[in-house]
Amino acid sequence: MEEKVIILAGNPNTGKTTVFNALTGLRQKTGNWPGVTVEVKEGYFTYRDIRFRVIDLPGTYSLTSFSEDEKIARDILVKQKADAVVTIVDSSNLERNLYLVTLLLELEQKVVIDLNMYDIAEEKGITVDTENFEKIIPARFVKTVASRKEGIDGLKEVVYETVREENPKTSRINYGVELEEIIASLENLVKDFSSPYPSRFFAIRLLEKDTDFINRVSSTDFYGKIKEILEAADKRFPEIEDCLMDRRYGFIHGVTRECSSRKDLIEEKIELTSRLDRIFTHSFFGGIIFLFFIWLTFSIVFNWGGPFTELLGRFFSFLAANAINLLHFLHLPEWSASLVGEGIITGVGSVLVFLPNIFLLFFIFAALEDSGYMARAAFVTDRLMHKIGLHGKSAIPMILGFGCNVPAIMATRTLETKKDRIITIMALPFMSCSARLPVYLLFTGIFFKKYQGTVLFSLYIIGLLMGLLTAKLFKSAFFREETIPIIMELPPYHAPDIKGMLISAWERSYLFLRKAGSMIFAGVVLVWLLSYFPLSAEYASENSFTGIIGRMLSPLLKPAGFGFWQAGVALLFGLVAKELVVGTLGTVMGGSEPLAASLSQLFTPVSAYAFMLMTLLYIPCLATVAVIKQEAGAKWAAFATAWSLFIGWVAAVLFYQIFRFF
Amino acid sequence: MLPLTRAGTGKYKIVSINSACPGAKRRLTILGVFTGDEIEITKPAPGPVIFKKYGSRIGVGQGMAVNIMVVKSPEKGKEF
Repeated sequence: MEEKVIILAGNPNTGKTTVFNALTGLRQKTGNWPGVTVEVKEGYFTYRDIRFRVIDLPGTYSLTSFSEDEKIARDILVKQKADAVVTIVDSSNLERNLYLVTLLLELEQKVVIDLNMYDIAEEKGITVDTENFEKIIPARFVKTVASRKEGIDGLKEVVYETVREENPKTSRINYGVELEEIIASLENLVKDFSSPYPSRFFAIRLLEKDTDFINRVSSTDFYGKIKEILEAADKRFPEIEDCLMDRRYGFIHGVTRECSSRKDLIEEKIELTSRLDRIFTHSFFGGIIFLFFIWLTFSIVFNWGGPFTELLGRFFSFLAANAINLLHFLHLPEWSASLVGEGIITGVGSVLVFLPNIFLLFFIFAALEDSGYMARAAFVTDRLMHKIGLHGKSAIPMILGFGCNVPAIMATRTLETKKDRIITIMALPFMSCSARLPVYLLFTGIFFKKYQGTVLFSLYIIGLLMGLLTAKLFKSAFFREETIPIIMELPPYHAPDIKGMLISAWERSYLFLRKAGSMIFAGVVLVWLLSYFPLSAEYASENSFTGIIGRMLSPLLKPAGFGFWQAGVALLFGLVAKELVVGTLGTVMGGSEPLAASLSQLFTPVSAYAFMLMTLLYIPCLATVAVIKQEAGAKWAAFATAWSLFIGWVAAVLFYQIFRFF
Repeated sequence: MLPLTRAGTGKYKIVSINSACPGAKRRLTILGVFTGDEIEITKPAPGPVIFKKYGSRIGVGQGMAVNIMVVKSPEKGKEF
């Protein structure tokens, strides 16, 4: 069957995802685009004799290099050579939505315009004359109400006709004589320059001083000429970017006035959304409600996830024990039983047990996003976040970090600029995730029985402060430029769509499994190898390679008060997943005495606290490092590792050296 | 004429947008907000200001809201 590629583009909050789901059903996946870190989904549908591959771009307002999302959308648009681009448009807000269409036409794409949520527009007294529109804008128009699956077949039909069209109509926005002259002269220069972009599109981006495009030509021999033209243009039009924008909007204003009418049928009553906004973004209550939601999220994640986590934990120990028995039964060598049982199943299992928590976290996250609350939360936290140089949207990932750093780092995808993402990602590993809790519980139970709660709380606060300090430092060291004040479109509140939430939670959990899983597997095997060899030593004992590394580390850990090999080994195992610190201590302390007794011989309360500080702050687990590498690149992953190791060690040493005299 | 931070709920017209930060002004343009627009404030300061234009809601943090000057529209209420 013939295959055609179509791309879905459109502003945020236009119901684009609903259209995508309606078109493709469940035949979709999160696309794996090299270097792309925002979510790009792909799906398929078949209509008549054509199989359509559908690529769903992130929601964008334009196609500049201003934000990560827009850059990625633009790159995919030119690289995919789509047979048609379907733009999903909010019918109530044609003008702003058509702005993106003007850019798509400049990109010389075949465009289908989907007037979505048409029912709401009609209620508001808006009518659109699509026939008239099609005479002016070289695109096909379709009306849909995707939430009720209305018009989806019509959309498929029009898409089908569009991709088969041989000679599509074209038209261009006229930017006025003077600007057109400048564009033409630039176009002449870049005409023969090989780039995937149409030359007119390229010329206009140059005129807008889009850094991406300027960089592309900066080493060519005609760069001097381009600079000359741009300087002259700047003198003639002082704010040329605004000028171009205004011309585009001028064109849109004209067309919409001609082809649509808007009459207010009823004086709008004070809608629910406005009322809720007054509560949710209230300068005082907004913060309290925000904290309440966060508390609610975590109690659901842990209370509901807890039993499943326990079940999974039992399942994995059962599996490990049986696997060992089976391998013994089959008379396979001892090492294979150890590798499979003690190494792979126990190690990978210790991370997989968090899957129910992570799924729930993503599920609630999707609910908050889909209901419209998340956008409000960004405003509530913006004031505080702005002070440390972050965006209001950074608050949610930071809070998610208390559950698990891995999904939290993935959640930074909602941030618009790379700079904000990287700063947030660097701060995130210091948020004390749930895997660190067993370590605190073990030590506070032994050494701080009376003040367990206070000590626990202090660790969470120290983690948070270290994260904020890191953000502040990195911001002033690497990203000097001013953070843009928060300006965002706020979707109306609505009841979240359960199916969509499930899809989103599953997709993100799957991504976690795939990315984290492979890294954990490799880490587990490595740690096992080091613990199993040399053969003369017992598994993970003082004379195994891990024990030897532990002994080598002990002089380094001595100033922090825990300079014995067991601590070194525990921390080493903790790299795989931090709760392994507890299990490892159990193994290496030997079974004769209870763990509490042997620990209290080695640790004092002060060194125990120092050890907890170290566990809190030193290298995030392997899965987190893997996700940082995926989201921000190897350089930042290495940097995060070194930085957290340094901070962890310094904090533990400082604490021990100061408080051991008290 | 008053800054957006001092306007109550109701209909206003945007008189000027001071581009204290050019990025912020461009962001408003992308969101379809221009000088001369009729807007309806649904959630006034303190805290972020939220207003409606053509049914879509735009939230502006206080930092930028002080740079947007508006005048109150006469109570006709029939046009945007």
